[in-house]
Amino acid sequence: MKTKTFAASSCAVLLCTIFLAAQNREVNWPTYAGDNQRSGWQRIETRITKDNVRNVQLLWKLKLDVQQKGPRPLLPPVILGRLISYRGFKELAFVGTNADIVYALDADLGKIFWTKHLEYASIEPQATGSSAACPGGLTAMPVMPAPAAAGRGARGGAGPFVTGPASLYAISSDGRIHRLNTSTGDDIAQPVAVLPPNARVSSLNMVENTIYAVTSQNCNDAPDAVWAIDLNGDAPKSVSFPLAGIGAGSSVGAVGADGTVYAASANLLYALTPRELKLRQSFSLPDANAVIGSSPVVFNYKNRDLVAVTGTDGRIYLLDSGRFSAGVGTEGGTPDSISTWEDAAGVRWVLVAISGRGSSAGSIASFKVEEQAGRAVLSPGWVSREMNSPVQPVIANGMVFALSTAGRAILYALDASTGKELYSSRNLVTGPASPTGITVTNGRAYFGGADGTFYAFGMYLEH
Amino acid sequence: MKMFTTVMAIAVFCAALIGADWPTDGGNPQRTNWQKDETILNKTNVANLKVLWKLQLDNAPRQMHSLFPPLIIGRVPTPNGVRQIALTAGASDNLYAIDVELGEIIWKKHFDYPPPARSGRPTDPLCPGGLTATPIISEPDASGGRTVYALAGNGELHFLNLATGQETSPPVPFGYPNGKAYSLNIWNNVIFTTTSQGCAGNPNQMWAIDIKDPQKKIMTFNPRSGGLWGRAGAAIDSRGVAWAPTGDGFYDPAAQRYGNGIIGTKVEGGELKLKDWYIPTNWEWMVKRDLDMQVTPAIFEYKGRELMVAGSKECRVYLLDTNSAGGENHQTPAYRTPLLCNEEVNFASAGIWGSMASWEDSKGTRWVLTPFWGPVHPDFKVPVTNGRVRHGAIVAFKVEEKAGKLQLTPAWMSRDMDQAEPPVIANGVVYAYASGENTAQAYPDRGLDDQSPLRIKASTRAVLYALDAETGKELYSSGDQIASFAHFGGLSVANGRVYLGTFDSVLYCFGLEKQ
Repeated sequence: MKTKTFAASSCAVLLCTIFLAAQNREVNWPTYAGDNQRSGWQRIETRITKDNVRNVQLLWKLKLDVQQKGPRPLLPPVILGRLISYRGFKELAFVGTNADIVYALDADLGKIFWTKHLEYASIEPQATGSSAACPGGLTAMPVMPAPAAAGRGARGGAGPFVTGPASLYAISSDGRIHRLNTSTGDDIAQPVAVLPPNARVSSLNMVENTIYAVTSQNCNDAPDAVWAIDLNGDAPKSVSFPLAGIGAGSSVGAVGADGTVYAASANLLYALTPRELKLRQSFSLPDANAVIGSSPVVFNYKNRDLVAVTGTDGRIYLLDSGRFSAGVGTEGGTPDSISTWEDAAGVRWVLVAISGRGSSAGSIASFKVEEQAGRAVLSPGWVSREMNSPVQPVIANGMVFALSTAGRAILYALDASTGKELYSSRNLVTGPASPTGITVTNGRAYFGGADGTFYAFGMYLEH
Repeated sequence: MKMFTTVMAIAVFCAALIGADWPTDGGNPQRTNWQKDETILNKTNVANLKVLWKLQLDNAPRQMHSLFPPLIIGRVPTPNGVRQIALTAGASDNLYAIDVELGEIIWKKHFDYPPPARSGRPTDPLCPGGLTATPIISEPDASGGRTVYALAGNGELHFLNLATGQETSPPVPFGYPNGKAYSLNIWNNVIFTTTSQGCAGNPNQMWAIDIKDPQKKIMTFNPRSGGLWGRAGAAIDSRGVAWAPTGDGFYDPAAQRYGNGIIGTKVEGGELKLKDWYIPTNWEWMVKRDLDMQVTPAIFEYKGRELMVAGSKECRVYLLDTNSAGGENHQTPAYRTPLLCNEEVNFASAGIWGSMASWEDSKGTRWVLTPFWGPVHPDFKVPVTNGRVRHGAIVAFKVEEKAGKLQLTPAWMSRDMDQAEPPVIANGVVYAYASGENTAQAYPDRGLDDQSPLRIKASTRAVLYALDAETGKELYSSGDQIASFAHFGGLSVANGRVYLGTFDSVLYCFGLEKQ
């Protein structure tokens, strides 16, 4: 029943989104990679097309308050396409920074709409150190209920964390969950401690009234685990499923169409029940020496859920019908994050961001999912131009938006069918990007710079 | 002979005193809000304005709507002699004909009909139902009689004798029940109105009916936009083209969608046809931020050309030529001002609302006036100001031609007004009012929550102001004499009197006390 409910909800979200697109209304990007499955696929993009993408420009940039430490000062934004606020109709970009600040930015004008500093309140002292593994501060991209455009707050349920106005959820570095009013940034309810303080918390994933997160790298003795935070009731309550040895890149949990929560640890992919996080099954990579190096990404293929991960052995693996495929190799570096989309012809694509290794640069590599002997396999497709440490790409309207993060950050738009470069931001960004991801919504692509500058590229809209 | 001359002089003087009319919203089909025939009130004596009378009418407000701007006819032959009549409409399907000398009702008409099957949301300020269109009064017939055209809330157009209130012919259909029609206008026997907000599920479109047509055929043009909610309906140019703003909506001429602009339609061959249109180049932005083009334009002559001014919630004023409103591409105005207000890009409590105004002074200078709500934009500079503006004001421009190009040159900005409403110019004096209406539609704690009871409770009082038309200097303020606010009301000025109806269904008449 719950599975049917979740599947129905997913369909409703998709239908709602398609309806909004048909009306040329602004759509949302409520969570990391756009959806619970972490596909990185922006299904509804109409403003940027292959024909006009060459006209993309740097619309605005804004220096935000960040801690001058660590490589991840800015997180990709959650986008609320249309908020009817007491200060007017707004499209807002909610940006979390490692200084425990959440900004609401007017996405059209590049102006700050509100700023919320999430005060640290834990008996544990606030960690002051920072490293690549344990960057410190606010580390989890906030999340919005989906579809926020269709209602107020989360759906169903009761309690101060679910009823009332539309809201944004964020977890501060003290491990408390905040429910913020999207119009003002005010805490709608008293923040509640749900995770260990000073942990490295993955981007939040919200399904109905439960928020999922993963803590990794054992930062400041915070245990590595998958967490489910139930927002119902008088105060949110969390349960966890312990993990061990999670890599920094394998920390963003994905949720399948049936509500199964997927998280990776070492050689194993865990499938957990919704909310209670009971172990349903675990799956090991065929190569016992390989470690899962990416976040799992779930997608539907011929009426079944597949899960894609990368391995430290340089291969891409598909979990199909309870077991992993043999995997397909990549060249030129280490496969990192994964995105997936389906084209108009029904071809399912898997895209992999490949970090460079040694003297070789990185790239985006594409694969087509095909069926052989009743099992899904990956067939190599195009490989993009060179990029430095690209983050998880976003697919929108037949294009792939990719961000080369190292050195001088460069935003690219590629033809999703061929990998051909259609746009490059060239030298418009003068420093490296925060390797946290990009968001593409309503004709704009957003990402953060390592120096705390937040960038919005896109199509010019005359004011 | 000397006696005769004296009598004639007195007669002419008396005729001048009571001879001016205000037969339609905005004073004329062009909606200039200019009372050209005012001779009694002037800059010198307007400071002595008093409430001559106020009349509590038995009209029940609907949502926030109550009384619409009175129509004034200076000389109406009635069974009891010639009277100066103010005809005011109430939202609950009431018409009141008032003897303005006495402040007494001559006749009242209530349009009775079964409750329509469809209506707006119970507390929705946007869709009040009932009578929402300011009526219109015809030119006099050979015997001096005049007809009132009034559109009842059930969509029937009524024809009444102004002197008696008697229906002179059966009503005819001219719209849908509770369809929220706007002020009627007339040109060569064709009556126009507009509808908006899709109230009760009805279409947003321009309407016309030829009252001489025996079939009383209803003619419409639907711009497939968000709503034609210029408060004074359509303005009509010298060729009979009716111009109206189209509200939020998309612009796609190939698909015959003309949202967020101004359309001009004309009756030709028994059809209401689109003749021209203007769409701002930033219409997408305006749609996205709900910054409707929703202001009834004002049309006037300037150096042999016929021009039109309009505005929007974005808070710009557009100067257009009625011969080609937006040039070849329909998107090039003769002139567009910078933002006067609405720096925050708000949809509810800022921007230009209602209608525009225009007049020409004795030196031949053509003026354009606009009201606006909210704080003045920090980048908008005006040579003459009258204090800090935080809640709204009137801005006056001069129409000028420089280097062969038309422009609107800011001249003055009035004092602060709590939601400034469309002004009326009469004899060198600008009459304006702060509506005192609470215009909030969304709230910090709960977002959009546009409910009439909330707004009524938070509204205050209207204040009438008289300003020097050349400087904007305040010459008169009604202070706290008006008890209630006015939502989508309007001023009427004629024969030394200024009228305003308020939410509590009180009609105020300001003027000079007789010595």
